[in-house]
Amino acid sequence: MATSQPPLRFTGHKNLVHRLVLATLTGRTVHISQIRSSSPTNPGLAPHEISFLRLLESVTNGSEMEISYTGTILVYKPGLITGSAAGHGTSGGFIRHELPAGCTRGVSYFLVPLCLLAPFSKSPMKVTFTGPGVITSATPAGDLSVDSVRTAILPLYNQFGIFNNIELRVLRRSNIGAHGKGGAGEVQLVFGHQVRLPKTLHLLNPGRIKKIRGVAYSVGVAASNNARMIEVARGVLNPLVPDTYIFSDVSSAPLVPAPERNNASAKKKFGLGFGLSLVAESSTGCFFSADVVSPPSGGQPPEDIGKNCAYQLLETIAKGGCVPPAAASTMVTLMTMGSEDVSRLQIGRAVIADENLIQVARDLSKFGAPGWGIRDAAGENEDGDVIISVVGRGIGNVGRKVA
Amino acid sequence: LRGKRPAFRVTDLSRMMYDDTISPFDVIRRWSGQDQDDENDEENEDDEDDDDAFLKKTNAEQEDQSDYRAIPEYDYEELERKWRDEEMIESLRKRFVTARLSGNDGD
Repeated sequence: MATSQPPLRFTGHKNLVHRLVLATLTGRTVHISQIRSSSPTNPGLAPHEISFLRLLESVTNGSEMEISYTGTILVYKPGLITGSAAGHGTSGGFIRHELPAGCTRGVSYFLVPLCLLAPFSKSPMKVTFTGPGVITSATPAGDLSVDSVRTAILPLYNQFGIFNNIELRVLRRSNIGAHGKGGAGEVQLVFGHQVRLPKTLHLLNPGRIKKIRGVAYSVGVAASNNARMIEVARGVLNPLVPDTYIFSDVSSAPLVPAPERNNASAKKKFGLGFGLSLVAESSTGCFFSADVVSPPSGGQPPEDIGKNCAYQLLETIAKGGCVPPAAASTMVTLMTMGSEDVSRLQIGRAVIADENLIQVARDLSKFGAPGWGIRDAAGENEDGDVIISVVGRGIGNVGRKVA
Repeated sequence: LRGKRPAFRVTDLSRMMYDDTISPFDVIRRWSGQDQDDENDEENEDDEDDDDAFLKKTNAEQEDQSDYRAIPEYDYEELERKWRDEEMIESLRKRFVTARLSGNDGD
């Protein structure tokens, strides 16, 4: 690996996770400074970012990371992506990754970047997320729910020829705990399809939405909440898509140890609430997802959640193109990691006019990827979609090349 | 600047996309032509303050703290108002298979 190259320098905490993923994929050392350095209360890396670094450490071999005393500077020298190879802290083939109780981000915050690394791993990526910080629902911090990752993000890998043995199991559901911190869920990711290079993508037809699937989840609360969310959401969506089916998942709340003075083994219920995940699939295999969850403070009726989620889905579809904003960085990263060929993707104007995606584009070019070509989509282009052409780096799977 | 340049022009975006001197936030503002609206509104400064009070605050204080969001923060009342409208629903219908098409383009 090219270790003689000087580290790439970045500033700020924006896009931190994606930068770390790119660093790992390209094998470049990164130096990130001024991480929340202007914040008087919480300078430096946040707990969830530290958790992600730990996750990176456990799925790679030979990664080195240095964090400055204040946590505002991070130097990360990536190693090989090994996945859950035997002898690297795996038990029963699975890497256990524990998230601490103070975690405010949903588990999708870790899952989506981990899935980006997985196709390029040396051995299958099998990770169990557990611990008092695993939130499987969507969060007010803007994370997807596990259900949306499973039904809207993972199928995207299909388009890149990555489809075998990919599974995301929700072993225990959890909503956000009190004060928006922690859950106590358990999620298992199996990503068993490793490739040399992802296929070149040509996704230029958004198709038409043919069906909507969804999952309504109630954790530790009455199942009628699900029925109420589903009814309202269907009321909005049914006139547009008769093929709408929303599953209802009711589970009891996870019990977490809460020792009291008189009773050291006392437990309490944690992470109660309900939420809705909706995924629209188009005839050409494009997925649009929406997620709304009850706030940790409560006080929002399930009807509102169902209604908001349905409207959010319509809004996401209305943004046009073949990918929703939540999946855009996954798509362009996989396109960049593909063979040295031009892949094309039709994307909505409102999706590309997104701070995050522009930052992703800049980061990619800093990591040595050629700039995107952007042009107006041809044909009957009423939504004003654009087509981005991304040239692959052809670096693909370093671990697989030497293996 | 000569008059008002059209917003959302692809060439403008390609030019600004990789220009590190413009922050991503400003790229979007410029591309969508919002900065021009602000310039035009400069005389009635009070107006602008009212309209953009929220945006400015985000910019100054929250921008530093804001973290990555997969789902943007929506104003759900606004969304509801928008999508209650039958016309909006009908304009979106062409994105669905239920749309009645004069010619079948068979996808």
